[in-house]
Amino acid sequence: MKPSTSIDLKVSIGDLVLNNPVMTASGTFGYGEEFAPYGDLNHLGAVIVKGLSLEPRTGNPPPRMMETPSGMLNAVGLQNIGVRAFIREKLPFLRRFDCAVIANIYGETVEEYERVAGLLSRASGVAALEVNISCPNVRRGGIAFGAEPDAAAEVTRRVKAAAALPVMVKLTPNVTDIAQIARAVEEAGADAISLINTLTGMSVDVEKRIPHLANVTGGLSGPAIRPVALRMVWQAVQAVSIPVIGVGGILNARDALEFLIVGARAVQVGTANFIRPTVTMEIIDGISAYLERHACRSVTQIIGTLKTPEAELRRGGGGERT
Amino acid sequence: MKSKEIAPGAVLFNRALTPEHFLLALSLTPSFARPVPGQFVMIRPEGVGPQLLSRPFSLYGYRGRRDGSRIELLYRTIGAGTRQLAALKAGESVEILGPLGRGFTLGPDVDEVILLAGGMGVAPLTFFAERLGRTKAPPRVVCYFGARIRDELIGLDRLSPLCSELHIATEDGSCGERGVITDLFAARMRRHDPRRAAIYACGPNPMLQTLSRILAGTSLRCQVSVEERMACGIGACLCCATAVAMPGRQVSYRRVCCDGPVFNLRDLIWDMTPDHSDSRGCTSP
Ligand SMILES: Cc1cc2nc3c(=O)[nH]c(=O)nc-3n(C[C@H](O)[C@H](O)[C@H](O)COP(=O)(O)OP(=O)(O)OC[C@H]3O[C@@H](n4cnc5c(N)ncnc54)[C@H](O)[C@@H]3O)c2cc1C
Ligand SMILES: Cc1cc2nc3c(=O)[nH]c(=O)nc-3n(C[C@H](O)[C@H](O)[C@H](O)COP(=O)(O)O)c2cc1C
Ligand code: FES
Repeated sequence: MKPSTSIDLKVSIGDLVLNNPVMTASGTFGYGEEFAPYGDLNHLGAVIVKGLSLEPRTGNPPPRMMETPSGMLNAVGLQNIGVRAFIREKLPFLRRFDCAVIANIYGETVEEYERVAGLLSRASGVAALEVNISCPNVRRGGIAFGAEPDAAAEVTRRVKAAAALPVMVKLTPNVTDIAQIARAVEEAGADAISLINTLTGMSVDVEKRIPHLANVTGGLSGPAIRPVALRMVWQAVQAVSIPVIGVGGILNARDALEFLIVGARAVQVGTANFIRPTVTMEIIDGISAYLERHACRSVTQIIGTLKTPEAELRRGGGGERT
Repeated sequence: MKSKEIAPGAVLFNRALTPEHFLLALSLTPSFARPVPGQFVMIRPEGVGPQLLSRPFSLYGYRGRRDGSRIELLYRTIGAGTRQLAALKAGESVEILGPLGRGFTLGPDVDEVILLAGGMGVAPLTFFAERLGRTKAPPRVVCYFGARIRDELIGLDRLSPLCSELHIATEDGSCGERGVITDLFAARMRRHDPRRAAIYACGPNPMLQTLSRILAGTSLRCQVSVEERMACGIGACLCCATAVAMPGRQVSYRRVCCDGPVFNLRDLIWDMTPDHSDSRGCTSP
């Protein structure tokens, strides 16, 4: 179905205005160019590129992935070409498109985060930064920042100070209290938060009694994590007033709408890109079709419209009838 | 802008050759490009099945016509994804991405092609031999084909007429020599002239690892098709990494799906491995 032109899909995340609320999740869309032959990147809300570090990174030994029930485990180990090579070799291609380009960054020290953020701020063509404080694959780094409110706040503050761009902080679900972390990064100056990154998991080859991943543990993604992601997004939306971006297990428009309805300003699609390289375009069209069916002119009309008994009470029993 | 697409395919037949081995024939739209032997497709049954991700399979056969093309895949069921494929029936639909990756290449000075096939590794090599037979001056094809037992020498019927010489080994001795195919090859290796012969190998990773040891002291050229588990098949996820040597004893990873699956055997690194049996894993951080 063609997206209806009368429906406004624009959403704003701080100063950043996206053509529509559908982005590609970091690490699942390469540097964009891998998917360009399959669909027009101009249609996307944003492309979030594979996580960038200051220096190139080799990544983990294989095997790096295994499909598990309704999902997959990966232990890529943040392999990437490094921020300078990204700016030199990959960014020029992405600049040609109408969609926002968001650079996902990570570091093993606060200084590294700062420097990567600084380099990207000076490059033209990057619309925002997404700070990965959550990747569970690398033994040092990642996990430590995202699991403690203080460390999460510290990275946020330093990146914010170093970057002249909107900063979105991506949270890990591998914590006890997501609301506490969300509040900490909001107070530290984040312009938005995105969640969730992968859940740490494991899978074993019973015949050989070896782990399926050389790294032993890996990050679980795909529809298996969607209910967890949705719950955490909903909690984060209540905890902070900055925009929240929902990520985790989205396969189709219906799944994306779940996140928008609980209050996500936009969504990211990850693992589903591997199943169908055109899935993001289908999700955008599906959201338009839903809005049309529910007589909404703008996607903002459905964001945060979850009808819980509490919400109904607060609204004086009225609520939105569609 | 858009130049590639997911090709819808229809199952022509999905024939069980043994309880574990299947020949799958598909009809595809004409948009499916003519593949190079060694290239592969990502395939999944249409719709949302219990298995989400596509699985990679080498092309075993291809016929292109103006109104559509037909491809064949030869596969063994080893897990949930391949069992889901095995359940496909004639007339059912699949989603296909491909042809993907880089296939085998033939140097101009090669007039003897040595095929080394282990188990299902026979699939891309048979397709390669078939294509070679159609060239103007076909090289001589010498094939070494090994499997565990006689019944697992799948595709022998199609393979044998394509070869000038065919050497067979089974681990239990039920057909051909008793033992593994790399031993049989090693015993005969000196008959092949490195200046005019080139090896093409596909099989389980332990077989390729043994082969790299055997070839270490020789100047025989060897291209191998490597297997790693894949998620996207198009170079985006970095899940399909394989280790290659870099200057200064450094290791770097290449993507099997788009930098391969065909590599020069000499570029690959094997011996950093505690045996992961199927693949060359390494547990150092
Ligand atoms: C480029 C390429 C071409 C291929 N061509 C063929 C082909 O022509 N015919 C064919 O039969 N297979 C081929 N394979 C292998 C095939 O893709 C796997 O057998 C398949 O993906 C397994 O899926 P599954 O869901 O059944 O197994 P899973 O459920 O994913 O795994 C089941 C078990 O098998 C092991 N396993 C998974 N993948 C492999 C593998 N590649 N090698 C060894 N063990 C594995 C796992 O460790 C696990 O223990 C090819 C692979 C690649 C990368
Ligand atoms: C193969 C793979 C690589 C990933 N790499 C990154 C990364 O580099 N940085 C990051 O922040 N998240 C990374 N992620 C996490 C995803 O962006 C996303 O948060 C997660 O997969 C959940 O969404 P999904 O279920 O839609 O895939 C990766 C996920 C996968 C599957
Ligand atoms: S399978 Fe995704 S990069 Fe190769």
